[in-house]
Amino acid sequence: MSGASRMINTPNLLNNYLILGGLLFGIGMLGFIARRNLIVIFLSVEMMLQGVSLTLVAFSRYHANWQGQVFTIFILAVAAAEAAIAMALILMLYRRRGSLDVVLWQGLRESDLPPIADDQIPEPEPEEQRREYPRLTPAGIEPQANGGYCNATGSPVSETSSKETSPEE
Amino acid sequence: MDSVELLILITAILGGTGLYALLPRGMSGSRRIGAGLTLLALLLLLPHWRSLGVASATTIFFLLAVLTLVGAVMTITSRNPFYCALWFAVVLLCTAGLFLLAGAQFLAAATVIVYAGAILVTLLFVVMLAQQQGLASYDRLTHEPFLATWTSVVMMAVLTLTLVQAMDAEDKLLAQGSSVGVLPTKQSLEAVRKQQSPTAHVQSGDEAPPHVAQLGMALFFDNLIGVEAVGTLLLVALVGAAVIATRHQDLDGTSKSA
Repeated sequence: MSGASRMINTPNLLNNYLILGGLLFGIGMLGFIARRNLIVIFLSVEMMLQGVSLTLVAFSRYHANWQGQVFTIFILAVAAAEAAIAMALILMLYRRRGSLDVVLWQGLRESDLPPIADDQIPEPEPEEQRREYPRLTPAGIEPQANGGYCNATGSPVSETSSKETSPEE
Repeated sequence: MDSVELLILITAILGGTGLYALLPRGMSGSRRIGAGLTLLALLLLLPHWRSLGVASATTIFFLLAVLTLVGAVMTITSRNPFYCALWFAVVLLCTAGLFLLAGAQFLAAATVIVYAGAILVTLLFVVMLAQQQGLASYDRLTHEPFLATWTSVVMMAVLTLTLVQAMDAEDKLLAQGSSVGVLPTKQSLEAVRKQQSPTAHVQSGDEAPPHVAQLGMALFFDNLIGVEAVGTLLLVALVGAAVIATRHQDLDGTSKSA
């Protein structure tokens, strides 16, 4: 707020931020409607909240008071609470059906809408099918299932004999 | 039709087609076309953003805004939900930068700490806990892609058009020499600020308290009930999440989830 010769043109900032916030809200709305993964739906909701926070901060800067930023702090806290509850609910839903698909819960739709049926499921692309998780080369002594471990030659050593040998070393 | 409306219509059609092609519908070849069309629509959106007066601020704004929109589109169109969360982290960081540009320093830090640091990490934990091995079929499908894209693009186009027309009307009014346009001018802003400052009755000296102190004063002097309500809300959400997510053990050993 100091240095009047280099002040930002505040109406232009308001214009820019409002357009950007509106676009962010619209993209979030698109993700909320279109995607079927519960996690991505929740992410789109958070993106809508971020768009609104941008417009609030822009108005706060424009009117030169703190109300916009205060309300953005409230939005932040409410989003945190919503995230906690949403994650708990998503975990519960996953435990019921074993999948994060929202279409599995389409019994909750309005009664006059047709059911959503997957007539054709697209095949995964070749580079996605080839995805392998990284494997680490085994190093060190490999632990056994019952708590003992193998010694250097690969033969299993039980726990009691290892305790007897360790004071001798 | 006005030239601005025509430009926004073309941008909406291009962006809508690009988003429709980018959404996961099982066709990999259309993703590049979709990316190109969406980038073209983004380029057509740039003239609506005005210069901020200071060159460095304008440059930073354009960079952050473009990165925000790219991250947002990638968030909703990625096939792997892990990548969606990571792109959303990009969106959050860019939004924090935009908060900094608008003078909300505490909010920038709070966004990074709370949103990107806590909410996103919790979400990633849930993704890792609840994700099947490999890519699931529902990640490759979109529910009603044409209707969803059309609805969202129409809404975005109408919003942008309204804002641009409001700014153009204000420019016209100011160019005609009227002292009061649609939006108030900078001189009256100073008067408004002095009048509406929440801490005017507290500070008597010329030196202003630091930013977070002023924000704290505004929060606790003028919005105390809201602060207490939000605190209660967080407590209730904490208890609720703990109750919902735990499996309850009955006395005979069978577990029952809520």
